[in-house]
Amino acid sequence: MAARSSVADIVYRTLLRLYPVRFQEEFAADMALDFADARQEAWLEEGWIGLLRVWLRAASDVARSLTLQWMRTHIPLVAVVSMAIALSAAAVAQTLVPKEPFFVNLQPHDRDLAALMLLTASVVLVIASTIIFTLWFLRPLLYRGSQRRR
Amino acid sequence: MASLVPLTPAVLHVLLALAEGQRHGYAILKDVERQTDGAVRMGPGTLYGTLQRLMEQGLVEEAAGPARPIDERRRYYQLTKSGRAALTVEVERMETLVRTARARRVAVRPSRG
Repeated sequence: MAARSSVADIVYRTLLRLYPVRFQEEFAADMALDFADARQEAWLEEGWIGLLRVWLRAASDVARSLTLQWMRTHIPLVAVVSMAIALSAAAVAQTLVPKEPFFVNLQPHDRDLAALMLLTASVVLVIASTIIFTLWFLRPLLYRGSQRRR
Repeated sequence: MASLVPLTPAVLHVLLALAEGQRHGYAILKDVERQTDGAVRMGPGTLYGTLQRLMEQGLVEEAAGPARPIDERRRYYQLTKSGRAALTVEVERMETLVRTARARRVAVRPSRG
């Protein structure tokens, strides 16, 4: 039982690391204690079936509350706005770059390769821009969070 | 206070669990289960998300806990005056609703207890 308890606790604590940092700092320890109590009680009352029920409930609870907690941080919204800005910037850049001089001397199969490389570079740039914009726009929220913790 | 009403089911259950005095998280979970005859089994994620919101709204606060706690790692929570007032307003609202439903023969079953 002891070995199973510790593995279960580690798995649950690992899941708790998926929550936003502020929520983790405030409630993760309590959540781990409650889960351990629920697991112990289920084991004593119903055995394996009880444990299975506790895990199923915990999985559904974590999935639901994880989504809600991340939505409350506004990070998904900021990320979507940042991606929209990055995609718009990429679209504008595409219209500005002259295509002819670059592709004109290439063989047809090299053009495919060049197109693939351009596509890859664009995707990497969009992802990088999304991350940079997200972090940039989140500065006030992060600052407010660190002030609250103090 | 009226702006907080109607309360969500999770909030109502948590406030009801704290109406009798300070409790820690697991005790709240068990109380909610008892209140609803096992129909509502809240998980820790839902409970602490609700408590976080209630503390931000000033309806619940952290309590000192009992003089001799069973587990010192546990944190206790209690209703604030605003929390109790919000609960009272919500229960009165529900009573009016049930009265209306009974008058219209929607709910004719007498209340338990």
